[in-house]
Amino acid sequence: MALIAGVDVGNSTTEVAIARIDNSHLEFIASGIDRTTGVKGTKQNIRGIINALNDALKFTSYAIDDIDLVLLNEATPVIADIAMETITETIITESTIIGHNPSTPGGIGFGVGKTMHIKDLAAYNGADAVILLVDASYDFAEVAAIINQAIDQGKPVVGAVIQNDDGVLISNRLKYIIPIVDEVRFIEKVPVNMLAAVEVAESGKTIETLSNPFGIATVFNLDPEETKLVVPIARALIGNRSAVVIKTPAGDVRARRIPAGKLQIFGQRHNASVDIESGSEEIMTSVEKVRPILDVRGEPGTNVGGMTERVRAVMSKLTDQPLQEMTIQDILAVDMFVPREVQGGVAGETALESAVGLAAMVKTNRLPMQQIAEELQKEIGVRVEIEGVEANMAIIGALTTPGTTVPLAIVDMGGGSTDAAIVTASGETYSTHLAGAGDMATMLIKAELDLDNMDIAEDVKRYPLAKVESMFHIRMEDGSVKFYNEPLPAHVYSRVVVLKEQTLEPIMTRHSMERIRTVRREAKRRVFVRNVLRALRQIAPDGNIRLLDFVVMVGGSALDFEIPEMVTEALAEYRIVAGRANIRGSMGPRNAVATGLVLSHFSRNSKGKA
Amino acid sequence: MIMKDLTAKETLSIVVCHEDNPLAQELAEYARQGIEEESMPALLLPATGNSLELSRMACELSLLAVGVGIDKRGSISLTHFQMPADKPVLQSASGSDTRKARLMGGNAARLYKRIPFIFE
Repeated sequence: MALIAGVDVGNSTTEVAIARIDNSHLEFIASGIDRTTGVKGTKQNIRGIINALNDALKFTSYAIDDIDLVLLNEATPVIADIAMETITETIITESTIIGHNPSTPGGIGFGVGKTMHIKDLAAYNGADAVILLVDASYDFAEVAAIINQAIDQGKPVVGAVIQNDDGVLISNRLKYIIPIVDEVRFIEKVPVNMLAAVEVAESGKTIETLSNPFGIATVFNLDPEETKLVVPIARALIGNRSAVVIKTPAGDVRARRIPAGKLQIFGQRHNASVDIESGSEEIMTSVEKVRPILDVRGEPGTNVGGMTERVRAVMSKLTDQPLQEMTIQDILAVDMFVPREVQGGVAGETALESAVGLAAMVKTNRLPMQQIAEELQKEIGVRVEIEGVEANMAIIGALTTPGTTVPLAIVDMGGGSTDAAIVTASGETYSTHLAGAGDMATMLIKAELDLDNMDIAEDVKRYPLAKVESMFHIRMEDGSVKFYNEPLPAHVYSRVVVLKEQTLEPIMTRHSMERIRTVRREAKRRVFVRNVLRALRQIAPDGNIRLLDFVVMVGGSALDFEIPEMVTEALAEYRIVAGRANIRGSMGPRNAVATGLVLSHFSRNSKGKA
Repeated sequence: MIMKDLTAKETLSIVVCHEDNPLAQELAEYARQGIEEESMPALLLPATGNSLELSRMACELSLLAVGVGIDKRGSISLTHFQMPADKPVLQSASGSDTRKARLMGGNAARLYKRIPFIFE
């Protein structure tokens, strides 16, 4: 009897399959999984390998010493990284907008007048309309009394901007309804004695005048040239319930376009140069034209130049190989819209800016698996061998999925890269590696929803959403309702949450559940569906996807609750049977390579005997 | 407890039951402001008990099923008719922080409106 362990070190997880071989009979007895320690292909992996072996052995009567042989794969020497760069930015100088959405503004309507601090109102006797600025030291009752008195004296107060959250309280005490914008954090930044417009819409509606460039032009008497300049203001105010725009003499608002730079793609036969600003479609078309790619560089001194250099520097550091050997072999570009704080706003306003997300894949020299094998052998005292190439092992493993046969294509959707391989009826294999997978989807979700950290973005990607509708029930995104016997914690009340096993993790944004769901699904579609099609085109006979019959999905992202469906749906158009693998009929899409290693070793040795 | 005859119109409010000392009265007024800022009606009633008991009383009187209780040490509880009697939705420790009282009033309105609470 012999115990054999196949070990697959992936970008994010290390997987183990352990089999017992009696004469010519092979039986899998355990599987294990643990987080990969360090970057794939480095000696730091050993800790993760040992953890995964222990994980596999914990329900057996064996220990690591009992294993006779550990098999490693010739890991694909690709490592991926992601980056994002905004290519537009809204900056407001010498002029001010307040375009936030306080939950409870006061009054309704529209007022235009000169800004004036409330303390100066008593001495004011002019006929020009006034917009009052009120700092936090004034109590709402005091403010209401002052405004009422002013109105009695015939002073034209037409609107107010308030620092406290007192809009409704003041409005309720006024003789006339005027628009009041409250919760303005930096009221001291609002200039006085300047022409300003205040607009508050009815609840349930959004402002109409200040979100329209011609509306602003009407209010401030702008000429056509000036009107062009206020477009970013109007854009930043769209969808708000209340807003203030203040015109200062040297009024200058602009949406600055940062020179994003050009991407230079060097191919075996020809090169291409493409402007980042032309968008992801254009970039990806160039990538396909130039393929096979030797390297991708960004124009030095621009954003994209910095971005590609960063990727290469990180990779070089992680793999401990010289920077000049780091060549980018594939990129995936995705257009994004990300909320960014407006420079020069006074209440933390945000505007949607265009951005480009890039995933880049760096091909290093062969990863030093032999060194890892020797080191591991020393550490655990068990013989360690390199059994075969990752893609081939994955195919052997994937073929244990019930219902599959050669010719077969597999798509390995991992964290860093999307890999594909095909085995023809005659047993030849081809494989490819593309940039962009789970980590890229997480980055898109984080950026587009403006989430605080990667962990919550990862949760949004991995788990379905629900809305907490009462202290006792939640409504899932599919509409079904779940009731709880115990009251839910107050911090999740009425929030959109991710259903993470038994816990509810609140997503601290104002986005609706539908919006979050759309962003999540779009992120997955833009990364995975696109990459699967790209990958299959490269390995399919004559580059024709329609010539493929079976496509099996493996890898961590194939475990996702909706990615496999999206891919199945997209491939159905090409009449391909595509689905999630079920390795050994029981492991799902995990463990393909580890299983393949053991099977490959077994078949070589049993052939040898026969 | 003082039980004057309350009309349906009066109880179609978020009810705030508070003890009858200056601190609790002041905090109740701030809670009322928090409710008003959220554009909801409030009804203040003097009563005795700890803040949890008072909030229970309040939510049972409220046709909106939302009640706030404030005791003489300044402890504030917010509860809903559907909540277990021993468990408030939110509670803030005793003290004279009027800001907390206003926040609790606002959160009482948010509990009815089904929008997320604000913590500080």
